[in-house]
Amino acid sequence: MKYLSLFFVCVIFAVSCDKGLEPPPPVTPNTNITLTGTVHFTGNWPPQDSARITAVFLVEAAPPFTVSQVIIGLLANTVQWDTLHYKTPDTTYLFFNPPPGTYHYLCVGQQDGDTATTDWRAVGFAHDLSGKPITFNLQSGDSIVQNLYVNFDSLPAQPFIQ
Amino acid sequence: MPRFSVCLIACVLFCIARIAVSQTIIHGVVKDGLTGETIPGAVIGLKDPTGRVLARQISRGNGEFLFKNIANAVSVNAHALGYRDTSVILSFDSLIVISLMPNPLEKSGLTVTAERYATSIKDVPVSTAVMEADDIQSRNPNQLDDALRYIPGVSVENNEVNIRGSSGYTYGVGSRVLLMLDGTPMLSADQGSMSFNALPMYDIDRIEVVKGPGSALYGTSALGGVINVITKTPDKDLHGSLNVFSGMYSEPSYPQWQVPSLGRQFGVIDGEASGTIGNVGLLGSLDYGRNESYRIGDDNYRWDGFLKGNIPVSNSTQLTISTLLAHENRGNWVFWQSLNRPLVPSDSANAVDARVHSYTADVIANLNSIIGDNMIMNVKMNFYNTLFTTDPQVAGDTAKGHSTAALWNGEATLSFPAASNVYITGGVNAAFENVTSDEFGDHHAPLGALFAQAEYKPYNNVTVNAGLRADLEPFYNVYLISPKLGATYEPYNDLVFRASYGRGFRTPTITEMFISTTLDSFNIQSNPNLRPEYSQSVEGGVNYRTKYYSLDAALYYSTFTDLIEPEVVFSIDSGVYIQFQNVTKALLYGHEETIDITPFGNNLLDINLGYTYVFPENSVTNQILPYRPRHLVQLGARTQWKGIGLSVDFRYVSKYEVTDTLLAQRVPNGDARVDAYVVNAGASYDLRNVGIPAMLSLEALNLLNYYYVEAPGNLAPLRSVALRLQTGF
Repeated sequence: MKYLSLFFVCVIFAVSCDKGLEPPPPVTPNTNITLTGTVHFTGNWPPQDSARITAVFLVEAAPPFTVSQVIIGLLANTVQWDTLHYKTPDTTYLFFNPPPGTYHYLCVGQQDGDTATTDWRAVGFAHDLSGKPITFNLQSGDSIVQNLYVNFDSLPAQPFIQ
Repeated sequence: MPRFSVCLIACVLFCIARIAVSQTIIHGVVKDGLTGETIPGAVIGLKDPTGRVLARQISRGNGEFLFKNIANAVSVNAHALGYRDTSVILSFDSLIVISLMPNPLEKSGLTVTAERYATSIKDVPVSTAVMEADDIQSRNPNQLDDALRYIPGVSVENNEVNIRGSSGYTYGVGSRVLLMLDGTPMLSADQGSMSFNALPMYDIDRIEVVKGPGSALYGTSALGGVINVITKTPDKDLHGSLNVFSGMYSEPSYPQWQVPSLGRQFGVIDGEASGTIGNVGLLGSLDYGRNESYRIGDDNYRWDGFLKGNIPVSNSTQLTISTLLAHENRGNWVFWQSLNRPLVPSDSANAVDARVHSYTADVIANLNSIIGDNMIMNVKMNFYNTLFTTDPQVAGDTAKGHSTAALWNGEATLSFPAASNVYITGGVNAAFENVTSDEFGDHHAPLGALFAQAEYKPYNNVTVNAGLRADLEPFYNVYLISPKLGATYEPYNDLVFRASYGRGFRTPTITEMFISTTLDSFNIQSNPNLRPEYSQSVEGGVNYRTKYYSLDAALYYSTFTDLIEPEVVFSIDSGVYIQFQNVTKALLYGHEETIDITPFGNNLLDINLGYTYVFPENSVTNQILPYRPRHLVQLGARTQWKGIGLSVDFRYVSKYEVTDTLLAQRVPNGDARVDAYVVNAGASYDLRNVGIPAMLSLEALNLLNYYYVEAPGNLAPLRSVALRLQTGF
């Protein structure tokens, strides 16, 4: 009986600390919003004085709009941007947690002159098969990949009102 | 001078007596020293003064033996399994009565499976485990798999038995372990699967497990080992018993796992009777069970009946006929919904409404005859039929999958001593499989085989065993040669070394070749080009046994070729589907140790420990094989004292290192697994102590309510507590 008792104690001690499988921990819903993708450049880059800043813009307003609207939008958080390096063949961009809402225009823009408040042009934008700009409705938990294509030899129609 | 004359006369008289004796009939009978009953089948050896065996014979059905004209015999030795060997000096003027005393050391020490004839385990060169009737009774398993889990080196994943890592999880088809009932095959002809719940648990005398390839004796499916379930022999006096068993599963402790609508109760009622009418021994049982299960869509109703008759045809011939019938109506559970809801099936409507009905029938005829002085002939025939059908999920729809599979099997074996130290066993086996199924098609597969083995004892303490089997399987267009070779050496009493080599094979099942169905969102397609899979194994071991303890250790090394595994296939025409393919070579090696201690030399206390280590490697990719636990520990203790019995068993199964990635993708949390720690305990009280002819027992399985999986996406049974009442006359 002594052996049996010892056996019982050892076994119960060995296994009583653990219950084995358990329900997986509750999954915390992902509330982040990400819009990301790769920008592919083809054609000849303009000289650096014609491409002082290259950036991806995410704009709430639908084109056409003025450059000033975009600049003000940056301050008002209705326009997001992510700057890119000069003459990088392919690079990624990321908008992490932009304000939820509808964005009507996603483009690659370049400052092509000295005046940062006026001298901008679009060099590529996200569009559907018919050539219309893609609208992004970004809500909590969304994670969207959208690649962009820039051909410096064939620039798109400009969204800016002169 | 007078002294010399006396000596001379004495010598002459002795020689005359010897000559007279050598021409005298030697007639005797072998009896049990305790009961006085005659013992048929004992090996009787006549020895000369140097101890050399001059002739051997087997005692007849009435225990008698008869030698004629054997010169120089001075003693006769009787050897019967379960008894101490006994020698007596010959006397020629009367019937020789040899009384054999039971040998307690041979408890759990006999096997009829390892060599196809009854022999002591210590003379068997391959690891063999035997679970005797009292071990089975003390644990009260409800199904065979519950009993197998107590045997070292054996693990069970759902309905699939894994001996030393030989099998993984194969979706319930293609067992790599051969299951036999009274020496006849009991794997379904379509799926090659085992029907654990059809076996008559109350009528089982013992379970023998041979660990290692057994195809040299038994042919296909004995790739990783052989399980032989041996039923009881009818009693001489009439007796009967009634067993009532009822219990309940515990609720899981996690609230999100609980399913309030589940009944969780189970119960079995079983009646059995045994006795002899005229000279025909009869044994029969009938049981009915209901299990509401611990999870939805997994309940069952079942009944089974078993009848066995021993009919003495003559003094040296006996015919045994057994019939087994079973039916089960169960839910169609396959996998869990997820680890968040492990007691709810992935396809609830299908699991609950699409009931599966299975029917099992097994008819066995077994003729044993002693021919002449020393030849034993055994003829076995069995018809094993399985049928399953699935109800439509919605009333009025056509029924879903059904299959009827019949196995006709017949074999004849002759065993005889070819010389005083050579024993030959050989025979012929023929079988025919017939499958009719809407999922697998209609197929007929015949097979024929010849087998032979020889046991050679060059010295009293050395046994060499060699065997060969040739199988011809026209359905698969193959013939297969399965050799085996083994030896045992006993340098000292009760210390035995053993070594063996064996080859095994398994032909693909009809299901693996021709299945075309959808199982729980898996699209499964046929592959008629499947080839047999093979194994080769070498083993070395040592066994030491005393009255108080026995130790056994074994090293083994096995290779597997052309292993059949379910594979994911991509095709433009059919998309993604699963198909069984010959894909893998594997290597398994490891060691196993068992200790059995009876500190008082009786059943007051019995402690047993088994540890098995398996290294299972895919030798093509050098990765670990899926669903093979690397460590297996079984620890048990039981005591019997004044009608009170206590038992506790602990089982540790290390978690699978690798699982099926396909399942993990399709079944949420299908790769969830942990080490398994399972404690079972029981207590019993013999009510005859208080004048009631009954036994009351309380049993708890998975006492600590540990949550683990044995098969992917299937939570193993939760804690269950049950009360059992056995009464009889």
